[in-house]
Amino acid sequence: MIFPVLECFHILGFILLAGSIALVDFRLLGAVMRDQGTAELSGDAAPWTLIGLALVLTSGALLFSSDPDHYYLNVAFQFKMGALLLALAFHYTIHSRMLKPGATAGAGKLAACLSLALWASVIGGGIFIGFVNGPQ
Amino acid sequence: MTPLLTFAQWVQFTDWAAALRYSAIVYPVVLTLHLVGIAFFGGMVVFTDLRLLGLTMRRLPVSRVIAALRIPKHIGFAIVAGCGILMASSKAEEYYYNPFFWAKMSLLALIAVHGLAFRRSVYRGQLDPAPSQAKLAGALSLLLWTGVMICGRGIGYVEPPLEKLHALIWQWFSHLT
Repeated sequence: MIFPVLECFHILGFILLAGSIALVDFRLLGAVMRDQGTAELSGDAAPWTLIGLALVLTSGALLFSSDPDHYYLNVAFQFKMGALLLALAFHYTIHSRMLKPGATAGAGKLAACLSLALWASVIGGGIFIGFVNGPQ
Repeated sequence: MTPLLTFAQWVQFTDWAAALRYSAIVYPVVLTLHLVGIAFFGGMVVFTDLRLLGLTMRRLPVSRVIAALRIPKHIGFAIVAGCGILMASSKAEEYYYNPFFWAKMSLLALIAVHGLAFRRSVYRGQLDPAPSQAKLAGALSLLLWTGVMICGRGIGYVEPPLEKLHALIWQWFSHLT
């Protein structure tokens, strides 16, 4: 009963995390809210990104603790953790630099595509954990 | 047997639904698309609701935020629902017996009712909605979508014993003839 409840918090968390980042990425791509500054919009999104991050990390650590060996040896889990580290590092360095004045629109678009791809990889890695068999 | 069950069995046993069910790659890819869509575009639903509740982008009028996020929400819904229909088709008979599936469909129907009920006062009004109406619409939307998410996760935890059900139906059928 605890496991599925934690999963729901995990899903809620990654909707907030990836959804708030996607909002800024869609703006960088010029797809939504073109009349708003990217810096302003990312200011709106940032607190929800952090709330989402806190939710996924807490629920994720608890889910992991239910069967550490199983996850640790699972290829999809390893992929997911690699993608997560990359996505977080990218988000708080290069991606955030694209929101400051002086960043070109082209670079912003490239960063937005990379950011969306990285977060999609993290989610995909998570889904595949249940479909990949680790060593028995 | 109900016509709906007959239909579910027919869908599940079409070649493409069976292929999707047994594919070790395509099924999880469709599920991934479903969840990536939920994260990216569900985020737009969440931000619309948060603005309705006055929790983000307060410098912008409510109606502007609703209008700005309407198209991405609709595109996202098409992607997520498309993947959902594919997955439901591949396991249609199982889902016929799955209470979480029916709870999820009922909640989605309620979301349609919610959109219609608040259409004039909030979503498509000429003026910015009254704060009380906006807050009610936003809170209900968050609650309903959270319910959809919980039921969606629940679907995977129910495995109806199809072999036993088939045996029962077969028994009942041979009893008649």
